[in-house]
Amino acid sequence: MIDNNEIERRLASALDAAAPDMLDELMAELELAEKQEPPMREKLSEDGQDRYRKPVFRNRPLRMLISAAAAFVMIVGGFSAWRNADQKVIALVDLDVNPSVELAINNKEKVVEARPVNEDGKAILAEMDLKGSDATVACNAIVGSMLMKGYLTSQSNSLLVSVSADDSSKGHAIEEKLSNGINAYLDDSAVAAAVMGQYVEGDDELEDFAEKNGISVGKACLIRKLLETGGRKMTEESLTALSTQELIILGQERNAMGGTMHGTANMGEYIGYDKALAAALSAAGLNSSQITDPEVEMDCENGAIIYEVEFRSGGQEYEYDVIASTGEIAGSEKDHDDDDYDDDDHDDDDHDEHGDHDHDD
Amino acid sequence: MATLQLDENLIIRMASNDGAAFRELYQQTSGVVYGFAMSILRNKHDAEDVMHDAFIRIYMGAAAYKPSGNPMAWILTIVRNLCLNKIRSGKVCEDLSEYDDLASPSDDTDAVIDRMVLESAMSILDAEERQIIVLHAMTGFKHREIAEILDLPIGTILSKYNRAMKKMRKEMESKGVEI
Repeated sequence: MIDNNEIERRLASALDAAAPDMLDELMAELELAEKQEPPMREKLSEDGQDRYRKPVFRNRPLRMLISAAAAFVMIVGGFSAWRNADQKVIALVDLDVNPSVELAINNKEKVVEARPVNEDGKAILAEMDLKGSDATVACNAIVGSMLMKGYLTSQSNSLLVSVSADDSSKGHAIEEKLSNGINAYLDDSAVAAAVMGQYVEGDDELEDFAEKNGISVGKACLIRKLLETGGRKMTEESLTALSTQELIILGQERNAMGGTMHGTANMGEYIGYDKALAAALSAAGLNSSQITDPEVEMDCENGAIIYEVEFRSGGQEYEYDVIASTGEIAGSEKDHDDDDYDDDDHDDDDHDEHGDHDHDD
Repeated sequence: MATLQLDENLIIRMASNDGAAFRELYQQTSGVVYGFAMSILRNKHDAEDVMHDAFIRIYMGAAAYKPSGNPMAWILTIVRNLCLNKIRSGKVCEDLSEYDDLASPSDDTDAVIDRMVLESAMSILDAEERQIIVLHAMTGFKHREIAEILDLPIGTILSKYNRAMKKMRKEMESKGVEI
């Protein structure tokens, strides 16, 4: 009787022996250095198992794109100047994680120029020469570099892809293609990321806002969309202070997307809606059976994500701002509940508190 | 069958560009990575391409790795995704006789039998059967874990495993191999 274990052992041994030795090539490609241990081949040769191992050399686009040898591209002039400088540019692509970079694409979807939008973006592009690359390949190389440098992590897992183009249908198509491509790349790398794609209807005001704040036009566009959702606390200034991930989370929670969305931004750092309500109830000295109409909404105040908690109880309307990451109460208000307010002339409401009571806890 | 236990710390160390951690991870997993890619693609050039890309992805994705207690499953998911992507893109070599060239001829009887087992697995088993027995042979994973990696029901894994091993035993017998 032939033994299953023996078949498996021999199969494993044959595949192990057939595996090529590409360690040195990979180490060189990844620019990894270490104190050299005896190479695997030498170790294996002691038991005669290295006879099938051959070094493998390839010349691959990925290596070229992530290697440090590439030239640094810096475009002089702003967004508008750049757009007008080369008529062949049909679309601009912003990639925002924390590093922000912008790619100018021609009608063959090749990169005409790449420029950093912020300091971290410079570090990403310093290692690449993307000119002439296919836009999808260039995006994947940038995302790969962001992964490698630890900008994209399991905690900070969100990426914003924004495309603006003169031809909006072409722009939408490019946005979808690049977002899907980046998502597939991250999927292949088994990275659970959130990729948000949007088409940007650019205008001078938006570009000026982006330039003034040192952010990409894509990020500026998302901020504008968030402001349109009518968050009571958010302001242009406080939203500008947020990271891309925080903006995407707000966009996700406030339905301000309107583009391609893959995956979910990591909200593990936040306490969640239920705990925010519990924190507010505890601050008010109430329990859930004593309140009605609870509402919890994600908002932004003073550059931090908050939960805005509202509920009614005993003829009062309560409002608490709970810091999303810590559960601390950042502010509160208590008003007469307009629905129940006893508006007669009888002096039977001595204990009612009129007006706003802001306090910092 | 000993289970391939990979230290999760290697991935955490790789996230801070630790070359020694990458070397250690490569040495522990290169056989499985290649073997699993071969079991899907059945072509050594494609398997080598996937192996190369997989190690680049593993290194680049280390910072984004979410500790799950099973880093090997994460690595195998990357390999599988890359293989499926290659198949989808139509960039796989059609010449399936490539597996004949897996190893150089040798006078070593053991090596000859090993090769015969491998060639049989590549020629008589279907794709899922190959993947199941290669993972079982090279990682020592339980059928339940293999089911998760291959995204197949556990019942399918068990029946395909048993069928594959039966085919292999029969094939070895017909070739007069006593193992």
